[in-house]
Amino acid sequence: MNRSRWTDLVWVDLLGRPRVVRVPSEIASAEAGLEVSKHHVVGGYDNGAPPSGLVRLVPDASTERRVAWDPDRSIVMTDLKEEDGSPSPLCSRSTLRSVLEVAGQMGYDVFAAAELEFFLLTPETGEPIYRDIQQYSIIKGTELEPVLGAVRNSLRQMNIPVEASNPEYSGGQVEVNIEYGPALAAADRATLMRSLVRVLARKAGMGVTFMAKPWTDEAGNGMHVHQSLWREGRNAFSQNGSLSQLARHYAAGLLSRIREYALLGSPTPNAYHRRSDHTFAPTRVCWGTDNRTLAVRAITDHPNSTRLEQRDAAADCNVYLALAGQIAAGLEGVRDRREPPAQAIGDAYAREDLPELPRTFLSAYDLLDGSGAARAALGGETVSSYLGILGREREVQLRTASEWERARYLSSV
Amino acid sequence: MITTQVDRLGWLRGAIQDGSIHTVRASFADRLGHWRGKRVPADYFLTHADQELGFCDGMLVCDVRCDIIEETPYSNYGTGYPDFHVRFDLARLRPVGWITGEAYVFGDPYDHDGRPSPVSPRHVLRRVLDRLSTVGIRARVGLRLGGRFMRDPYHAALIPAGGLGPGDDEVGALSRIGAGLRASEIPVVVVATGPEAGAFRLTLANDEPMASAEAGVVAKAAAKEIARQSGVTASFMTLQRGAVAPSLLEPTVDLELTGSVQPTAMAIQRRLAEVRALLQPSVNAFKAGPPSAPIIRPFGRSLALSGVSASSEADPFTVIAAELAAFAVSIDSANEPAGSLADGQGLGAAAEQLARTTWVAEWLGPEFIANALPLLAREDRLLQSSVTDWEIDRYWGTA
Repeated sequence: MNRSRWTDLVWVDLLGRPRVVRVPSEIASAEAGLEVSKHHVVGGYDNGAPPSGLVRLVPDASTERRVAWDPDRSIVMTDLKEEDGSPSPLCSRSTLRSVLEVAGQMGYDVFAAAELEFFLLTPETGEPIYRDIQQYSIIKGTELEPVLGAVRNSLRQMNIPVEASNPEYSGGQVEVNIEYGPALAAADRATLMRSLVRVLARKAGMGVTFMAKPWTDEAGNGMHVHQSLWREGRNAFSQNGSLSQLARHYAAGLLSRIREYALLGSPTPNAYHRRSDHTFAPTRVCWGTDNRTLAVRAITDHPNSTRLEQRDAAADCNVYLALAGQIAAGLEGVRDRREPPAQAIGDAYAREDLPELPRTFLSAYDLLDGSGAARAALGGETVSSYLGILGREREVQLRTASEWERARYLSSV
Repeated sequence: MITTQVDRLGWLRGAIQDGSIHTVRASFADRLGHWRGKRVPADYFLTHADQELGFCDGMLVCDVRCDIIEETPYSNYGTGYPDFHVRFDLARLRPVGWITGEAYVFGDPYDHDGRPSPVSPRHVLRRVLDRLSTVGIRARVGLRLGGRFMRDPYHAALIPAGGLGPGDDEVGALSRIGAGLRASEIPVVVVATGPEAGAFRLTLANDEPMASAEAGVVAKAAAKEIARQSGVTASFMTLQRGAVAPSLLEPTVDLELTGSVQPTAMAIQRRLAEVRALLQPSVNAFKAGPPSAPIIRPFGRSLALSGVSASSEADPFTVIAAELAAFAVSIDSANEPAGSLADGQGLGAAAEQLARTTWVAEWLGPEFIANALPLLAREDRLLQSSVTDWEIDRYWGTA
């Protein structure tokens, strides 16, 4: 295959949004890498005080993909390095990589899939392209094929192994499933998918949002993280057709940190509107077998696909940091041989005896801020930088008068 | 004709290689006969065809608008809405004849614990067929399916009042439906217009009951998708605004019998009245009136059964299962005097009648009925609590 002429070097900012510099391909493969300002790495939803200094983009050649609709262009994921060659604490991909190295030292490969929901929008109005619920509808799916067909076919050409797509449980909401794979590849695929879907939808005259809860009365967009540990090519979460003891330890770890790490998977104030009872987004710290009301769902239908699914994250999170936090928590449970609580059965939303997941951005922020475990697992500077940009979000949220407040109070008080 | 699983997968492999198929509709039918599933890349499907695909089990007991309710014992927040798993009937993998690049396959839903899902209409029909075979009855079923092309909820489209004349152009939608279904190996024998504007009717030749039910689901979808390409809607709502004739789903059944006792038409009609809520599962469908008495034509030890009308919006699997079960039960009660027909005042009363009818739970399965009942009753309650356009027209300003 001829090399493409141009290469998009991709990194994500701390909010998980892909950033790109497009360079001639011969420059992209230069070993020294390009330098970019840390300002572009930190990100943020508005312009806070930019950090000074530079980081180097080091391409990960194993991730090179030819753009399906532009053979003259390739995409390569990069890792961010400091001037001394060490991984930058601003590099979410390196943070996930370091957690996976811990797993490797413990003798495990981590497999994962990030399952993302999103809305297709009418660009002119920003409203969903249809309003009625049509989950799994083949006929509605036919109407969406100009986008979803292109997504499935193009992403597979780009070595992002889409396995299915379907309308989801809200008007205009859809889901694209990607095969599980090594966790770093899973994060790369999900991150790129979010970006590529936008391009393909735009080509079909539609808009897209992964925003956690765009409409009060509609379902939110979740990111369910399916995960399992493998050893010597076998799924170590499966034992005699059910969940192994190792998986139980891992589940205990996930649950023990799910409150502290909530901000990693739900990084906006809006994401916490998603967390309400009887919406299929979890609200309680609990786990059990194949139950969609739980925070962590064990799925044991087949030895190779036995896995745990953590269901609390929002679709607009930084996929690398969300996975890093969840995997670090799970490994902590394995390392300490923790025992999970009794499996919850039935409607977990009705279980007032179970601890609540953080229901507000402010409480999630404070929990991560106070978490020594997060700093130990993900790196102190990484966590501080993340809290730094979300601290601005916290300030803005605290001083913003919302439409809801105006509608409720303006003429009544 | 290709009939085995190996042949079908070989066909798909070849179609992927020559670029004619890129996507498989990996699917199931819900309790209202709506075609649901996921679109799967064909090469992925080919390498995972022997595996199951998981879906949220709430979609097997949802209502016509996909709403899920707490009263369905099979699935609710108390059960946690676990996955059910579809095992695909690979011998019936075939092309989508009206859209390039796609194939489709239906499958059987299984619970998370591996048992056939008792609320799946496909299993319900299989259950009835298995029981019929134990008493020596074999059936072949065809379908007549009526629908309407609509420009909007108030105006018919494509077909003028009086139907099409020779050479009339209805932008080819009817022809494309017929050709598309035949390309999907669905035995369409008649594609016709009705006397009312927008009305059309598809007739499918007799086939194995499972194949016919599946064909009914696919035929409705084909009509809807092709109508959409023409910028209109194909609707199978039973009675539409301004329409006089209802849109009906009419099975034509050939039965091979080993016994000599045959039920009377009145006995069958009485049984069908008891399951009317399954044949006419909406408040609108009830406006079409009760099911008529079947026409029975004996041919030696075989007989043909026709004239039974369900509403077009009903699920073909359920309709066929209910009609065959009603026939079999009527054999046992052939000498009973015909009683008065269950004359429900509406869907709610019909649901209560269904709950009282013990044979239907025996034949179709108690869990199927137990989950259908709250949905049917709720549909009736929703109407009772709604202020309709008719009420506004009649009372606004005068009351």
